[in-house]
Amino acid sequence: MQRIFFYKWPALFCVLVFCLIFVGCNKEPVGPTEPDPVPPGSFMTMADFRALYPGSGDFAVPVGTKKIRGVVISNNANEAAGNYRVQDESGAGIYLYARLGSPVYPLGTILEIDAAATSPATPNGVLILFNGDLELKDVQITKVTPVAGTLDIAPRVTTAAQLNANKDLWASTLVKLNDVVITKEGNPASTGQNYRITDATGSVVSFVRNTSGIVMPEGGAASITGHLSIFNSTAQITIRSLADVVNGGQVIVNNGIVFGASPYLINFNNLSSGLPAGVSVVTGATSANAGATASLLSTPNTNIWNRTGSGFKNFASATGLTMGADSAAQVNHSNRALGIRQTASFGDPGGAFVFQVNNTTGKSNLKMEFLLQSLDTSTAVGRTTTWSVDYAVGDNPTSFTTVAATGTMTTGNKVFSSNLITVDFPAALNNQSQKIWIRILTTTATTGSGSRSSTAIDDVKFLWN
Amino acid sequence: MLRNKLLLVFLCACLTAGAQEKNRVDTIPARDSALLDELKQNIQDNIPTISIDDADMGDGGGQNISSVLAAGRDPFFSAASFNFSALRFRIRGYDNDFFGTYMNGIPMDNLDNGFTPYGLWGGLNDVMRNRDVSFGLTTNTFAFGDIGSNTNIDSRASRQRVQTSFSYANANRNYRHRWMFSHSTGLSKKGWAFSFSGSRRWAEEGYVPGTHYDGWSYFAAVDKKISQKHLLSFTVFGAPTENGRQGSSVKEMLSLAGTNYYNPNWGFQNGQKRNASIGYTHQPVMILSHDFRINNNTTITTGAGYSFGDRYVTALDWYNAPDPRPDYYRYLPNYTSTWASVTDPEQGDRLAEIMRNDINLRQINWQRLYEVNRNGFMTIKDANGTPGNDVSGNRSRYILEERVVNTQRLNLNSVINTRLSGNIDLSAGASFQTQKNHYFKRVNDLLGGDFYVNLNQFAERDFPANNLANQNDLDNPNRILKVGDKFGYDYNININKAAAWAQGVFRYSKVDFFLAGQLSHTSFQRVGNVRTGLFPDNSKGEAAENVFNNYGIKAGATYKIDGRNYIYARGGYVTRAPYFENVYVSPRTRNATQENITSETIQTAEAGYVMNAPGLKLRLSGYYTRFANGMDVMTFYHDVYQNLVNYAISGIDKLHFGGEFGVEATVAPGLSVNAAAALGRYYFDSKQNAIITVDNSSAVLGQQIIYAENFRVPSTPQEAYSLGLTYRSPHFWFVSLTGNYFDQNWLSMNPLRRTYDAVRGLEYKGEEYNRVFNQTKFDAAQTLDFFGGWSYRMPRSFRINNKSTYLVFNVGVNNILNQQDIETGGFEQLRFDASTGPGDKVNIDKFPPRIFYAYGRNYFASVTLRF
Repeated sequence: MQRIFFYKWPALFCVLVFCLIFVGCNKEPVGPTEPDPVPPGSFMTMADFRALYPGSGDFAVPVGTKKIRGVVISNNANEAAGNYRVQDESGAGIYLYARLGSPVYPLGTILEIDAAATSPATPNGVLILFNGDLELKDVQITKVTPVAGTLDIAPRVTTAAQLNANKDLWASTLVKLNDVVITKEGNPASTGQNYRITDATGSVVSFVRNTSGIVMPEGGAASITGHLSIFNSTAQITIRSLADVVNGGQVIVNNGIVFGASPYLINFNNLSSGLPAGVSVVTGATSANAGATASLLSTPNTNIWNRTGSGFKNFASATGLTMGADSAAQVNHSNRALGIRQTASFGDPGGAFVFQVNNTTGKSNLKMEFLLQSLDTSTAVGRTTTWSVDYAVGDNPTSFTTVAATGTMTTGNKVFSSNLITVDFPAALNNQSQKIWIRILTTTATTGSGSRSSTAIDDVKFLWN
Repeated sequence: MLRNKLLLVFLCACLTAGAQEKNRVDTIPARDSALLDELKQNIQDNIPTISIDDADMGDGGGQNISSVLAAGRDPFFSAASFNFSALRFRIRGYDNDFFGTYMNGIPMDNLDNGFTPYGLWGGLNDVMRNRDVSFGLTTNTFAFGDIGSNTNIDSRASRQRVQTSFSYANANRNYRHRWMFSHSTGLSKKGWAFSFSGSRRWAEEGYVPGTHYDGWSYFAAVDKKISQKHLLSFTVFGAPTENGRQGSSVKEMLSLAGTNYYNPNWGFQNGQKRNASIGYTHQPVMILSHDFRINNNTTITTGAGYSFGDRYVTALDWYNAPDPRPDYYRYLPNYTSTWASVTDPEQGDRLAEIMRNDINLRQINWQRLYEVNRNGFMTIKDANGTPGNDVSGNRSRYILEERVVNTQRLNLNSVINTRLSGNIDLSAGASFQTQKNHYFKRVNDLLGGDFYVNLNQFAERDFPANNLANQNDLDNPNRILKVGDKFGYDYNININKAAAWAQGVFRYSKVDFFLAGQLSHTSFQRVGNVRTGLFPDNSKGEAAENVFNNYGIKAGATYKIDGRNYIYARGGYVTRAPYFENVYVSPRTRNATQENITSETIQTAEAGYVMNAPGLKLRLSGYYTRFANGMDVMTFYHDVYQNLVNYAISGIDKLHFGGEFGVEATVAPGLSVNAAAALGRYYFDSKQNAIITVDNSSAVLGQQIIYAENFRVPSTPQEAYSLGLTYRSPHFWFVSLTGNYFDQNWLSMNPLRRTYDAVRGLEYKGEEYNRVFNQTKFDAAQTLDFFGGWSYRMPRSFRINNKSTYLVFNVGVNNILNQQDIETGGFEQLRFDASTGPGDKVNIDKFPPRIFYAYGRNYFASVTLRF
């Protein structure tokens, strides 16, 4: 026994061998918990891919173009057949029109799309503008590949105004509007129903297909999420399921402006649908009187700059037009502005544009910017209107405080202008839990002789800390 | 548990220590040991081979017998190579291509996959017994060698035992009967030696239903001793063999058939069993060698070997017709009950009942295939590419095809062995090997039809608007096929390898050490013989050549404690060219290869303790081996892509480590104990990368990470133990009883199930996640084996040529306890019902694993007349 097992070297070796086994044995595999990383350099971003499009016509995706990879953000049940919206992490998306015979790509599916032509003679994917929306079509079925993984896309929180302003850039991406009002628009079509989604800044359309089975709740909603599409130059938001409408159908008890993220923009481009939430127009306003609510003449073709009929009007904004623009140009101008045509008996003085803000809780250093536009240059317009800005706090205030405004605060007298006005509100409006009223008004009578002008405000922007 | 096993090993060691203390003398004649070895080799020649899949192109003899040649006299390897073979034990878990085999100095391994084609000399046991075996990184005198073991078979006529023998054997394994004859003259005074051998092995039906066996073999060798310095040898042999193969199947079919040996490959035809998967091999080998003894200290051995011939397996092929395989998943009751688009459990139950009671529903329905073909009248327009040439007749929907590999292999080798001084031996060699493999399909049987057409039905489905894509041979479109015609794929793989090596062995009184190195140059190239419709620009002609320069070094030292006790340590670093089948993504269709093709690197170390004493042999050793940068290519039907896809996998690293113990001890006069233990852990050691392409397209579909790290290397027990008793009578008989225990055997995994794709949406480490991701471990298994033999010297009146005549009786019974549920291996089907997106659940049970089982009780008995 001793000769074998008490040699120190063999004994030591035995110990080493068995230690080796003990130390190393029975390792456990570790499974995946997250998607495979995308190999660098294998794909291009959607933003870069969209940038390939020259702006018009059909564009065959060239040979050698890298693949794109994104997640389906649309629900095929609420889309026309073969239509998908695919977005990647770059914040851009693409409208994919899949070939006939393609499989259905459910919401959440990650697609790798190889749109490049195989050779110049054998094209593959084609980019076109379809009803104003950039679309990728004709990609071979085998080159649209569902792959493993998940890709979480956070919706872009925005306003209706921003959404309308950026629709070309943001098309086919996920967006979210807060504090909206949903109203049915028009009669049902054979395929679905239009709804208008209105927030404090404007509105967009949402089309709900019958095939989706979604019953859109009318009334207020804390938010609505969906992908942005363009139909004949009109921005639309398309939901995927009823879960995209948060607290939908609530009764509107306070239709004032809700400050979410700074800045809060109101561009008035949807005045044809009515005033934005929280905005009203009044006459008879004074520093001690809120004035009487007036109505808006919302139809563009009755609201030409040089028409002398009184009232609050849906004018074409001076932005993008020149002095003396003809009536057709004004009617077709998509950039709208909220205006007033004063007469001796209407709004002179006392005409006011009113902004009711629900509160400024947690906010400070409130500022306002807007464009004050003088629109009518007719020779008869000899009078000058002086405008001011005031504010008040409370549900039914009877005392308004004027605040200094920077910029040219006069309109009329044959001047065509669009002046930026800036206002810094005092600390009294910081962290207010009550309603806040901000007015752009004329408290003094017009000066000069002749007719009064058409005055408008546009691109009102509230900023705060 | 593991501690208990180690304790068992320790007890074995103590037992042997006690034996050694008694210092018994082995009184049994040596030839009884030879009888036992001979019996084991005979049994090994007749062990099961299973076709793992239709593409399996084995060499007829089965790869799982690789270690038989390594049995030798090492107590561990002797046990490991035989006692453990029932469960397909692989020494150290190494793949079969890490065990090198040479014959008369010529390398015999295939260049295409590194496997040894044992089937080429199957049935020639009598003349293949002289072997020089080296284990692990041990030195040898004929090659640098592989890291597992290296065996040189000396089949030269002058090295054969001078005798004549006839034998008959009966068994219940692959074959039932064997007769064998051999005659060797020894070296005559004129310097000539001749040796002849031949055998036939056959079975109308082997152990597994539907399998048959018909193997012949022949051997002739002549030596001419030209002078004291020159010996010229020539050997030729071959083994034309045909066997009906066993196919694996799913447990549902095994359950319906009531046996784990269910074989889906056969069916009744006119009352006779006909197997659709027939393997055939005949590749004669010729070896010419020359020994040049320059002086007493230096010899040069030079050889040239050439082999050629076909090997093929048959399989059913079909065109635009239902799958003829009886265990196709849609035909199974569970599909009707569970997986069909409209499930019907009651119908599934009824189907199960009738399948259970009607064997014809579980086997190939040959009659139906003939009926379909005989009613398939059709006109082929523009046949054979000739406009207006319309051919009408019964177009076969089903045929039997041959998947042929025609091989031509030339090996040249020269080795010098010289003793530079009393302490230093130097060996060096150079070799050149070239192999041309021609892969094609051939029509074997039209099954009642008049013709078949050379079209690719998968391409036809995928590219319905492209009337050229479905042509297997664009240059001969719509070719009408008759029996014996080539069709489908047709390509060559040409492989060349040149190598040079050198080894120095230094021997001193207390320490021996060695140093060896090798340089090699490997190149291979695909040459397409047809232009396919799918890849007209990338299928015909020569592909780019793949070239690899590799090297290997190894070194070791042995410390001689005394004349009986040794300790040793060795290490090696080797780079190795990949095999073509792991480089070409789809060699059947095109020239495309994997990206970033690299050589595999192997780092290995081993150390151990050896005792060689009268009545006791013992070895205890450990090893640690790491393989890096391996590659693999898999082709299978992918349900998400709904097509045949190729998974080109790279970055396969593996880690093998463990300990080995073997002992043979004489504990009483004539009674010896042998024990062996192999405790290993073989892991995949990396996350692997897969690039996915469709077989019918060059487009890259995607990339995936395979989370294979720490998965077990499958299909070999990682723990195996044996304990045996052998009694050798002074009256020339022996009996032996051995018990074996196996554990840590794992199912071969489907890499697709180890991807994020497979488990997305499942709770991490939750029950369902684990069910999809975790690897299946087989149950531990035990076997009990018996061997016995008697060598009877016949009376003097039976002397022939003044030599004694012997009758030798041998019998071996394996798995005496007749356990028929021992899982020896298997694989998860690559096809599985993966999730296609959120809300779509992954189903791994739709395509369950295919398992194969060890034979139940089986025997081999032989009687030999020897003089």
